[in-house]
Amino acid sequence: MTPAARLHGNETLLEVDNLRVHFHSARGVARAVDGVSFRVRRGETFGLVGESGCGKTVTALSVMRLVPTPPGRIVGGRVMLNGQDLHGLPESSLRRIRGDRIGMVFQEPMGALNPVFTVGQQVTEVLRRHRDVSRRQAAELAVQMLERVRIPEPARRMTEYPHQLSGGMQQRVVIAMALACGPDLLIADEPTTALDVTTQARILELLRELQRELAMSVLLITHDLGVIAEAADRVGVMYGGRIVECAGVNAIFHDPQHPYMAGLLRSLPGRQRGGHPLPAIAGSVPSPLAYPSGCRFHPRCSLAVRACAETRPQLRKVQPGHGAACIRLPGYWREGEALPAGLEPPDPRAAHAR
Amino acid sequence: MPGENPILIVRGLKKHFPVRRGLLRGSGGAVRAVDGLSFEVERGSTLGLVGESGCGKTTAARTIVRLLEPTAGRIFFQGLPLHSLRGRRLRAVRRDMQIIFQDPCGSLNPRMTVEAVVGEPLTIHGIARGRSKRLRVRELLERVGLPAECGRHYPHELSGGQRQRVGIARALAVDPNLLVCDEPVSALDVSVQAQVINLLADIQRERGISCLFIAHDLSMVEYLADRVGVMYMGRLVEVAASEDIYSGARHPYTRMLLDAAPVADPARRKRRRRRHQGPIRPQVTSEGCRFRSHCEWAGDECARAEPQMAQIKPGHLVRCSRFQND
Ligand SMILES: Nc1ncnc2c1ncn2[C@@H]1O[C@H](COP(=O)(O)OP(=O)(O)OP(=O)(O)O)[C@@H](O)[C@H]1O
Ligand SMILES: Nc1ncnc2c1ncn2[C@@H]1O[C@H](COP(=O)(O)OP(=O)(O)OP(=O)(O)O)[C@@H](O)[C@H]1O
Ligand SMILES: [Mg+2]
Ligand SMILES: [Mg+2]
Repeated sequence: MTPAARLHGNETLLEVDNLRVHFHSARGVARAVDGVSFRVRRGETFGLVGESGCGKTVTALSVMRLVPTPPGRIVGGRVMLNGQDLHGLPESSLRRIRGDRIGMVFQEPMGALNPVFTVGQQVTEVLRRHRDVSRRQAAELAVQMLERVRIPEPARRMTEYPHQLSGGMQQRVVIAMALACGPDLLIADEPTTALDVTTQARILELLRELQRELAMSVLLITHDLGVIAEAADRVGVMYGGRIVECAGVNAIFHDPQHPYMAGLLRSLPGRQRGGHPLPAIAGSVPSPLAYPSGCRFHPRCSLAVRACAETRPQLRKVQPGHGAACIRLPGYWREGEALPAGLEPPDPRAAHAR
Repeated sequence: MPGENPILIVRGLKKHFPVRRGLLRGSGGAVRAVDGLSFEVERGSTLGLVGESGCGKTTAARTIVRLLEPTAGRIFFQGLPLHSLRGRRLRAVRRDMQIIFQDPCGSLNPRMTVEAVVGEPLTIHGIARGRSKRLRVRELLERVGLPAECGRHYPHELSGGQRQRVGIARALAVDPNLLVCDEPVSALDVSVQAQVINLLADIQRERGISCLFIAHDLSMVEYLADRVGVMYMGRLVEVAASEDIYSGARHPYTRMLLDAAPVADPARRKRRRRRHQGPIRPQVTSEGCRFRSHCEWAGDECARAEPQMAQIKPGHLVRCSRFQND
């Protein structure tokens, strides 16, 4: 049980259900997000991990209906925060929720900061937009927020401009702004990717501490398996616009079920002794303009059989608390279910050969 | 043992960039990107160079292959003083050292087909023309695992991993003795990184190529390199055999780097220490140890003079006041 679960039970804060987002261009329709479902529980960090172009950012943006339209369009699905259907709300209500109930942090801190305003002006502005406070009170709260994200000499920093800060300090300011109103959910999309490893370590630690202090949930998005292993409680693994595996962080890293995740972990140099070739996954990630049929990983999968090209796998519980979308897994089929043609009875050892 | 048969010797290498006035006041008007770098690469072995963004890795790589003019220092390659060679003689020596860049897209001419990109060094160095060149290019593409029809494509029509293979094929075209790899896989998808790392390791083994391998991913360097150098603000603070860096690092910066690097294993989650809370702000004064404001062991002597590289055991060098031979 995660610490969050001990505190809050397994109460769901954010529920994303069968989300589908398409991008239209001259080259065709990119099915960037193609049936994504997951839940973020109260007080936990849910990590969304996957390689470039698999749809992580688009998922994050569509939670708050921020997908650029056109070319993008949310074509289906439901997003519930605290039982409230976000996509059914008028834009004005949604705008109130963004920055208030949901805070956001993105990869490039400068994208979220305005170069012509001081740090203080920007943090106060967030507070004044969402809270009924005077200028004075807002300024005091802003200093407290900067202190909370461990910015040294916060009162002096209030008068500085973003370019006078290091990348790590800028990202702290962005986090302070995202947390200013005490959101229930923080969406952090690659919050440390642009930073050095030592700075990254500090920001991840900061997020962990703040989450505990503020009892909020975090949706952490990254392509970095190391960051996920360090920071997430539960993990969803994305591939080709879908979640192919979802489980607690220990299960994902120590007992991966989907051949993609198992193969990816096996290929990391940290897990191999030098001198032996890395067991690499062949091929490259599919383009959202032309996904393979059936399981989108099947052309690269060493376990693939013909049925994998013909059957679209669902994300199903294959072990307690562990979901995976692979028809080759022993736990995938329910009793009495008819197997697709060409799928021999699954080999229970196959998926676990590591 | 180090120092037996180096293919590359770098001594006191500096590369400073002039800055416009007002940008970096008080720094003497120059970014000292590389500021006194010394190391050697043994024949047939791989030296890994690690360090955080801006510590001067790319500048060092480009200066060593003489894409940038060194501000000071000496570079000996296969016994020749690369730092003082010019014109035809420089070009002749450079044929034996090739560089692979981080961004496989930006380093390939977008208007040339893959075949032309890979074949260009053969023409420049007068190695092959016409049919023999075409045959050689096809061989190279096959060696790096690209289908022959890739030759007719343009770089932007390929995936990132394929583009990096083109960069490797081009570097191999002239049969170099030294490969300088500047973050060759950082821009690639995780599932493709292992493919390219395997390719580099294979090629190195089968041709006995020496390698200077630059990366910020410590596990990648640990996997590939025989020895590792850790760079901080333009110079090395520790050099040792790979296993000594990863299990017996002595410099506080090396330890901090290893401590901070995330590991893809939740069982090894780091209990991060609170003392490294502030930002890493470079030391502005030129005196003393550059790392001292972040160092838990810093004492008075660290502010007085910059420590020298000292050997703490054969082949393990550390630049720290706590380990000075006198
Ligand atoms: N503004 C856009 N216009 C057109 N297509 C887009 C746009 N944004 C995203 N897409 C499409 O959606 C796909 C998924 O993009 P997304 O940014 O979600 O990937 P990601 O998983 O965040 O990748 P990365 O790790 O590179 O950030 C892209 O491959 C692209 O085809
Ligand atoms: N052409 C240039 N003109 C001025 N300054 C430069 C130039 N190239 C690099 N620098 C500066 O030199 C320093 C070292 O840069 P360099 O690119 O070598 O670092 P690096 O270690 O390769 O970093 P990264 O890990 O981000 O690639 C930086 O402060 C950079 O801003
Ligand atoms: Mg993204
Ligand atoms: Mg670089």
